[in-house]
Amino acid sequence: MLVSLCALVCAAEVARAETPSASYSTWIVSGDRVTLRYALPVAQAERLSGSDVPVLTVSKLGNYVLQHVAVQAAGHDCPAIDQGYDLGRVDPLQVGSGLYGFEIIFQCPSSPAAVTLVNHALFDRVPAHVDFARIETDASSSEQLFTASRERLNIPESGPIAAAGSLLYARLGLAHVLSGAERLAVLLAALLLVRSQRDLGVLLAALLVGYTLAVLAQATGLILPRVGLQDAFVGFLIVLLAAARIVRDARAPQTTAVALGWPALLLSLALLAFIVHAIQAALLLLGAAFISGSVLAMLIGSAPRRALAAHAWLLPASLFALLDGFTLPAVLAPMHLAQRTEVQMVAAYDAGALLAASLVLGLGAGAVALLRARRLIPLGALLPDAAAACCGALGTFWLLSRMHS
Amino acid sequence: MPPTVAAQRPAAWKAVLGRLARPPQRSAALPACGVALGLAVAAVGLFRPAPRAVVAVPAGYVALVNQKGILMSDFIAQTQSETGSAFSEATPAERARVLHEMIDEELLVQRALVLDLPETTTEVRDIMASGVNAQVDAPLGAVVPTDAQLRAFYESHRAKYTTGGSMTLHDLVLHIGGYENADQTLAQAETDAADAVYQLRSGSSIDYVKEHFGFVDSGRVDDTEQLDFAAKLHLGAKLYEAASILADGEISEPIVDSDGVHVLVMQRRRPPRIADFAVARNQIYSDYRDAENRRARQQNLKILRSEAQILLAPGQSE
Repeated sequence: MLVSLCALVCAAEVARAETPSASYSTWIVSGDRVTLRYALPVAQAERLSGSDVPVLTVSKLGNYVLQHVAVQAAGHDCPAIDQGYDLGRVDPLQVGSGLYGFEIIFQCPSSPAAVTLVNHALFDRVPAHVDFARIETDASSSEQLFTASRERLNIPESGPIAAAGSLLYARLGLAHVLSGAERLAVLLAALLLVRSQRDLGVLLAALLVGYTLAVLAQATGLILPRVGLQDAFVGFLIVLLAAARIVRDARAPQTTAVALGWPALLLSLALLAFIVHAIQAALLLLGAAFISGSVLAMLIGSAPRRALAAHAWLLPASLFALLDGFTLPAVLAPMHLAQRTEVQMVAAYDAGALLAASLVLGLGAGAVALLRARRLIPLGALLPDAAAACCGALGTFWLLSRMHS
Repeated sequence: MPPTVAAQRPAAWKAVLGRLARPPQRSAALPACGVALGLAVAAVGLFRPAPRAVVAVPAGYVALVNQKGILMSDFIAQTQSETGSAFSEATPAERARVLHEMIDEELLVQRALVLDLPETTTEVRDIMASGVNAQVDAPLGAVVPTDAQLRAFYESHRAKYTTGGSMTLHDLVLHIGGYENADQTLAQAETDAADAVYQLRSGSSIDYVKEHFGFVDSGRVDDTEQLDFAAKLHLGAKLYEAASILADGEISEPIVDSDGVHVLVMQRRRPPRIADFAVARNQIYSDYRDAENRRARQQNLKILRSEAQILLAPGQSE
């Protein structure tokens, strides 16, 4: 209980879903002019400008963007031109709900041989920030990335511009898993259920299935995730994994309490959500109650010979991978990319995420095996139970705190 | 499919279901069904249908520009307007030119929305406000007012429908402190003017008064007939007010103005009179329409204000 409370206190900071910090820019290089259109999500803009009043945010943000982007030709900065009326050098744009947009026009000396696009915006404040850029020239168009380690892009004098490679997106996916508390919590909770190398292999296969399904779903272009509820559902999956461990390894009274109590609690929450007309949340909780009850029932009723039911805990792991595979599509939505391009990006990103998950699980399993072999800690009982309790507490907290968002 | 196979299918399903319903399999089948049901229900909450991009021009449209349609009816009307002939008579080249122009216009409109011109450009705001008012007016334009309505409007606004009056008059002025009597005071001038008025009313001629008291023509009016609005313009509001109540041959009381003391001698006065309904009907019709439009616009604004949240800065009022 004490550990759970500590976990709740620690997790209070991350009650909000960890949406990746992203912005969007389009650079149109035409003759001696470069037009930049820059868009930033409202939440990040307010954080940056320190104001939730739109007018003030627009003004401050416009100046900030102007100071942190540049176009260089022949080693010199191309100045941003005054756009007339009372606009000044930054023209605020309407780029859709939830986004602030700005347009800046850079005037270079007559038709430069090659230009360099520079973007420092936000990287000093949020090192993990990513700017998804589209570079358009008379000859071609390509998708690129600005990151903290990649703030300059050179545009060749002629010929097509190479798009950002798959490796860059894979690195983003890798960082996404390694930097997210909720994702690490899922992996830790899943690791608690691993008892052999075979279990580990099957778990990785389950994650692979989940990420693959996400890419396939993206390729069909039929569905999009509801981001807030998706984050809440990940919280539920963590609890389910923790509950699965308790049900599988505990004795009868505890097993029954968890197997009946958790689905009943979810049903109650679904009813509550239905009463307050949060229909989507109610459906999600109802589905979660069914899944919980069924998975836990499978684990209770499974005998060693019935391997399929005994591996029911792989379902939440696979569902996590499926939902996590929709992270990049949700971020890329404002870009309105061609489906083929987006699927390629998502596939590389999810491959990176899967690689990171494999690393975490592999290292974790290796560490546990090492410690167990050397008998350094009492792994048989206390530590796994405490870890399961922490995961359960964190997952419940995330489920409830993100449900209303 | 052979009939025997079709006949065997229900029996096979029944056998499978029967096997699943027995205890060993049932304990696995029921949770599996629960998982499937849970996934289906949760998926409804977790996912939403992705917006589908329109890749073909729907019926009734001639083009799609950034997923925004250009109506075929608009295209036909625009072509007829530009070529001055029926759409069917327009050549393919003419149609292509008109469509090209319409696509250009749509692109510019979309760009204007991106630049938020309705918020930033006065001309666009004026046109948009006029457009909304025109839309409010439009339904009223289809309603033809009856004579009874027009007559009621006429009765309540009779003063507006007057024919213009006219006057022919002399405006005499006695300058104060003029060249001939630099020490004259305003009181002395008013006394002289009162005497002059008495003389004029007694039958003395204007020339006599001029010669005897030093009055001169003010130069504001000549001795020709002037319409009321022109007389008001020339005399100024103060003198016109006095002149407008004089009848033929009447003399005004002395009137002090900036350039001296005036005396008005009305030669001929035709006062304005209210026009008959039949004579003023066209004007009444137009005014009635304007009044109805104004009323509808006010009503529209009243609704908009009732739905709006308007906050004023401290110290401001509207």
